[in-house]
Amino acid sequence: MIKDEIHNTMSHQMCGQVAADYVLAVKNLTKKFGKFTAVDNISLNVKQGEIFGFLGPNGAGKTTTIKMIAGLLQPDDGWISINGRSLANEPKHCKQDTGYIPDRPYLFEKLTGFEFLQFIASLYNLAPETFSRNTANYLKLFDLEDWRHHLIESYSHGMRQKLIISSIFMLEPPLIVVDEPMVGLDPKSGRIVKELFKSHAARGTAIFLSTHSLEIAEELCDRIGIILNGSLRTVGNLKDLQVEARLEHSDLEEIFLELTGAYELQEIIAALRSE
Amino acid sequence: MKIFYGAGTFQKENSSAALYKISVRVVTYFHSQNELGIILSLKIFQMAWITMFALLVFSCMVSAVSTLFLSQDNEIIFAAPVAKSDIFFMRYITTSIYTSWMMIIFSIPVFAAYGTVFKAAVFYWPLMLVTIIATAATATTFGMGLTVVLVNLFPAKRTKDIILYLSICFGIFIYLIFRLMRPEDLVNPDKYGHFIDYLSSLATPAAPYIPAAWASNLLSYYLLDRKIDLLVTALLTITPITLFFIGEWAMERWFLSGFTKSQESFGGYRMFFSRGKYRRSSLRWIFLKESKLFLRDSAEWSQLFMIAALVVVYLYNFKVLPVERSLFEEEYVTNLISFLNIGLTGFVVASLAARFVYPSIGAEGGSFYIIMSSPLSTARYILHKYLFYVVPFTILALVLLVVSNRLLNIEGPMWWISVTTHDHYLDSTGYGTGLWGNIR
Repeated sequence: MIKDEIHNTMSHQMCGQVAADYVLAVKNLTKKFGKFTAVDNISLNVKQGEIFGFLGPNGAGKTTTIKMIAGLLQPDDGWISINGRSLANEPKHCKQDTGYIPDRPYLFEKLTGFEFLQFIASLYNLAPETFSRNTANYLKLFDLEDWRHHLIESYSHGMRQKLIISSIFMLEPPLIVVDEPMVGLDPKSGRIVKELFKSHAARGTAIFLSTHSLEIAEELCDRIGIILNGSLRTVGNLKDLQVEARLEHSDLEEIFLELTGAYELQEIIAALRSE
Repeated sequence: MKIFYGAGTFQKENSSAALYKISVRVVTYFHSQNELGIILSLKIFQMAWITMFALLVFSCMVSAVSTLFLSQDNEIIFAAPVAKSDIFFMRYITTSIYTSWMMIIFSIPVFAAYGTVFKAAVFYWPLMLVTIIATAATATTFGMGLTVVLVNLFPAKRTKDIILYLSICFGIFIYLIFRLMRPEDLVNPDKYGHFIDYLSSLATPAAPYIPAAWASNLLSYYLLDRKIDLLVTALLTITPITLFFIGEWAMERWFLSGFTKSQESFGGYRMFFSRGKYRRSSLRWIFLKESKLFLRDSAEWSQLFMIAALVVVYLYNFKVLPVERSLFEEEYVTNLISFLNIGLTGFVVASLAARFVYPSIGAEGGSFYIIMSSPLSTARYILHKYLFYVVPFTILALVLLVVSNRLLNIEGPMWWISVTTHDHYLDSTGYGTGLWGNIR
């Protein structure tokens, strides 16, 4: 009990120290499921207006990390600070400042799209004028205007994804945490989402983005972190990663494969080509 | 695991033995009445068969909509090169077992009681078993085939809703009829004559086209004359096989269009305009969300019919209480009952809260991340839910108390005591939501 209090106080002080510089600060974050360590001692920071790409192979610990940042999972060790506040000590304030877009859009099937947006806005105490302005804008942008009064159960996967993206952008939070943003989106919507990320980042929003698409990461992200077996393998911009991988003129795919140790892939490709 | 399995088997054996003993006593009671006794007991025999058959058809149809059209593994199975007849056979076997095993297990002691009371010959027992299985098979093949056809007329979800309503109405009908027949009068010699008149005047249909009536006639004939009607036996054997092949044909003919319809959303083309503008209030929107989800999900609100029937029967019990036959003064007895009713009403409300309020906490399912990642604290969210449910539950408790007091002619201090102590129903609902656990 006393140990927890000391830990919380120390975390709070440490959070305060990084408050001025970063919207999101993660320090020594660890999560175990039984004996399996899903996230192992991860530390990273995201500053205002920055798009941070979070890459890694399947099962590397990306979603677990994101769920801890969104306040859905409790870390076993380490701390998370959002806008200088500790997520463990002030979850309400931290969640107010964070918009979370999951990879699988589970929504309330029996609500209409518009009712869902109203519900989300009420949870985040959004001002009515901001709600009216933003919902009209995003529903139009994502071609959801004609569907807004239909039940969500009749929406396709892509429409649900667009609705959930609209619901978070509508809130205008200082930090957006996104898990696989492009899953199920058509090319037009994908393009719009990319532009939205860029424009929101230009206006100061910090975006923490997990993706498998190296093309998106290369195009959008200011810095990239690669996670492997629960540990952060490397962090930096594309140039830093090229240096780290000793592949000065290669694209992100080559760098990713090199840094995640997928050497055996070369042999597999050679074998497949020889067939 | 083995201990639980053993305990479950032991419980089933015990229930079957108890059911057998009760059935033997009831059938012996009717059978021992001169002149009308045998006719009455066989009439009840026929009613039991028809009830069992109808329940099996309804329950098979509800399951068949799910197994044939709404199962999550459908896309994998139907996309594979498997013949529709094979799918029908596979789904038929699983659906039949799921829907009829309990009915078969619990009908055996009832029909066996007839064999015991009528001192049936040895051949009655295998004949009874074969008849039960053949009737169950007929009910399930009929239910499956009818479902394949019905889903062509409506989307699967709506078909399921319709069958569910019909099943619930049928269940309520049986429940109300049974209660309104006042079975307690069977042990009241003063009213026995009226009851016999009532029962014998019941024009039970001869139902020559219902397989359940064939089963009943076959066994009744054997119980009375120890002879087997070969025509009825042949009908009972051939019907499920014929219905199975008809079902298979219907599957070949209509399945794909039915499966296509089953993928349509219930409200896909309907528009739901929400009145009122957006306002900053999480409490208001959680109330709205809960009520909209409840009203738009027919599986939820259709259960209100069942609750209405329970309330009617609960209050009816007070109406027919034989307080005038009590050894003590009537006023004293009614006051005592009214006092006990405070606890009973609490029990009813707590049971309903356990059914409706407790599951509402996990009703978000996969969408709970929306609440968890929002700035609304879990305690506050549960408090909102509690406030949403506490009002209707308090009204229900008050209705139960006020109406039962009226039926018992309670006035004065006891009326006030029973009505003002209803605040413990707030606790009942609270326990349902797990609110106190959270606050503590």
